[in-house]
Amino acid sequence: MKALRVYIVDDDAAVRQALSLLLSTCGMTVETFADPETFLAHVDTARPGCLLIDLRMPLVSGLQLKAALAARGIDWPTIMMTGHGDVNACRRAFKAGILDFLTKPVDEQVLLDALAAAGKVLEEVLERQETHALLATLTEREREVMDMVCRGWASKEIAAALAVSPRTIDAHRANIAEKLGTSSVADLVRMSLAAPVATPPSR
Amino acid sequence: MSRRIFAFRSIAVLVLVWIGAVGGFALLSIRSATQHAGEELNAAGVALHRIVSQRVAQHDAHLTSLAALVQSADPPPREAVRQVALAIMRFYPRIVSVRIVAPGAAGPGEILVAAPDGALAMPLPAFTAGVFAQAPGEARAYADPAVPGRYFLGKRAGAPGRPLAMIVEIDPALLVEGEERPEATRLRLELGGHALVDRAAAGPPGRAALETLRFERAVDSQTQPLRLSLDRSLAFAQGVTPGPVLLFAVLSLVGLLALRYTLRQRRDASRSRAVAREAQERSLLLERETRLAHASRVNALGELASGIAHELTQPLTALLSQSQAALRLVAPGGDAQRLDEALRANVREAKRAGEMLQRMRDYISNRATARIPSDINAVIVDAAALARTDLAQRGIRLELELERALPQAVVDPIELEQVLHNLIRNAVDSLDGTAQAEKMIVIGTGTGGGQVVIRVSDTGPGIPPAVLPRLFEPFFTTKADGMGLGLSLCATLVERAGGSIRADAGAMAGAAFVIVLPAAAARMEAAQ
Repeated sequence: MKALRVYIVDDDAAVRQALSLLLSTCGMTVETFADPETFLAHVDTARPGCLLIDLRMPLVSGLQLKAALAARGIDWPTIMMTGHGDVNACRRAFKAGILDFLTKPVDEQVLLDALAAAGKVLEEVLERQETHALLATLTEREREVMDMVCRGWASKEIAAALAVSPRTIDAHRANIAEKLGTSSVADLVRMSLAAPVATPPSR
Repeated sequence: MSRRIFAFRSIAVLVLVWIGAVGGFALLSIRSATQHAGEELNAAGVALHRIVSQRVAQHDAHLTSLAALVQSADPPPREAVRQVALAIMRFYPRIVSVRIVAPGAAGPGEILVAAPDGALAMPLPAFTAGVFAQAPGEARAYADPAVPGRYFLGKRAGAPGRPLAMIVEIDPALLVEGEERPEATRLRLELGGHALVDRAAAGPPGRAALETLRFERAVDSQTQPLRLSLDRSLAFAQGVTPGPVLLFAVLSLVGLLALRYTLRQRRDASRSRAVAREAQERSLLLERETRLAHASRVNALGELASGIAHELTQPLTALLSQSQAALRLVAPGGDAQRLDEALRANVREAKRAGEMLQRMRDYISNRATARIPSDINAVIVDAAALARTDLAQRGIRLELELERALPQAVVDPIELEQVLHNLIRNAVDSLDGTAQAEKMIVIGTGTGGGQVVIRVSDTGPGIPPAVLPRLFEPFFTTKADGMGLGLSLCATLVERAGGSIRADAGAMAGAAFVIVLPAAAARMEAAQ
């Protein structure tokens, strides 16, 4: 498993340094930033990671950061830390899609567990993104055929429904298997669930 | 000044009271002297009256016995009568002469008997005819203008148809001779308007008579209706005996002075009591102000608590994480240099947390005011440190524009910090209500005229002009949940340090408060 990358955004240098040390001793790759602006200036989609941000900056700025990242298509799991357990802020944070909400000072185990969970989410996100990217390579007709395959239809039934010959359907299925790297119906179903038709990827 | 006037007035009052008292005493003593003199006069008069009455009665007795002798024979035994008369006159010198007169053919009458012999040559008084006209045996007193200083007793004697007149000449002066009379008394003896005796008062004639006392009484005699009168004019010197009055004057003056002294003592005592009470009240007020200041600080700390908690969690977070990292680093194969760094960072963070706690403890400490020469910039930095987190969470920027070479000022740093916190709080409250993009509080320092000037301004909506005059009034507030004590407390604390605080038209759009404190150096010069 690749080392988890963690982005720490906290305006307190000592906290940045301490968390950075702790996480690096746990084998994670850590990058620290004093404020959201610097982070946004340096963020690179090619180096995905988890976000660990301090809520000392007004909640809005934390949530704004999340929105700014979303605008760039970045949906990395975010953990918020705060000096005070403000229930209201906590609720708003979760509503805004924050993965976890930790109270400072945060215990190593709690932090590591949260980051481990975030790592899993990140993997899923990345996988989903990968799936999205793969599915985006399919043509519209191929996507149509794939959805019907996932519903358990046989090639003949699909051919009848689309009013083409079963051979054409077989050709589509071969293309799909080639593009997605699998011919297993179960894999296709899994990928289809990760990127449901309701939200088809942009052309 | 007013005290001197009061003292003078008090002396004037004292003198007036004293004069009044002495005058009253003098009047009283005059009354008593007058009364005494009156009683004395009366007693003397009564005694004199009794003696004169007795003596006058003797005349009647002599006449009666003489008349008996005159009528014992006809014609009367002249020689015997003369001898008896002479004997009477010898014993009673006031009887000057005795004449027995028979009616004469021509003139008043014919003297039958005369004693002494010289009386024979004396002309018969004009009233002799009147004596013949009297009822037989009747005696009557006469005054003769021709013979002043004498009176006569005329008695009709003799058989019917052969009247005889017995005329006795009396020296009235001898009636009262040898008798005591009170001093300064005029004695008069009158008969039918004729002054028989008039003895003026002995001694120098009184200048202004204070009062004239009088005793007057008719002598108890049927035959000789003499009037005895004593007049005594009381001179001032007699009425007012200087000794007791003087004594009273001295005693009353001493008494009044003693009274005045006592009153003054009492007034001074009550004044010093009032001063003590005032001092006590002032110290009580000071104590209350200090207590209020403390309560307000504790309250403010509550408001700042969340920020402070966060401030403390930062070093705690660093400490915890770093320590746990260090635990990993001490494991075999750990990086000794990073461990060292971690531990150093831990020490730094622990100190930082300690400082924060100390600042907080200082701020809410309930200790006596301690004004010391203080670095005003440092106080402002401390105040800003406590508030900064809270401000950051509210999206308010706090900027310090501190003059570097700022002189020290003699203040209690904690109290000044509290004043700054109150001003920051007010600024925060006014900024919280606005939707402006840039919310900012600026604390600046500077000098002017040997004074340290602190200026706290904000970009809020500012202070409405209507509110300005009442800004520092206790319990005046524009906040829904405000006590109205913040600015009033600020003013109290600043004025306690010899400074002043005022609202200023903001340099920015919002409100600005200016605190002026005397610089420490200037204060020292003033003290010398």
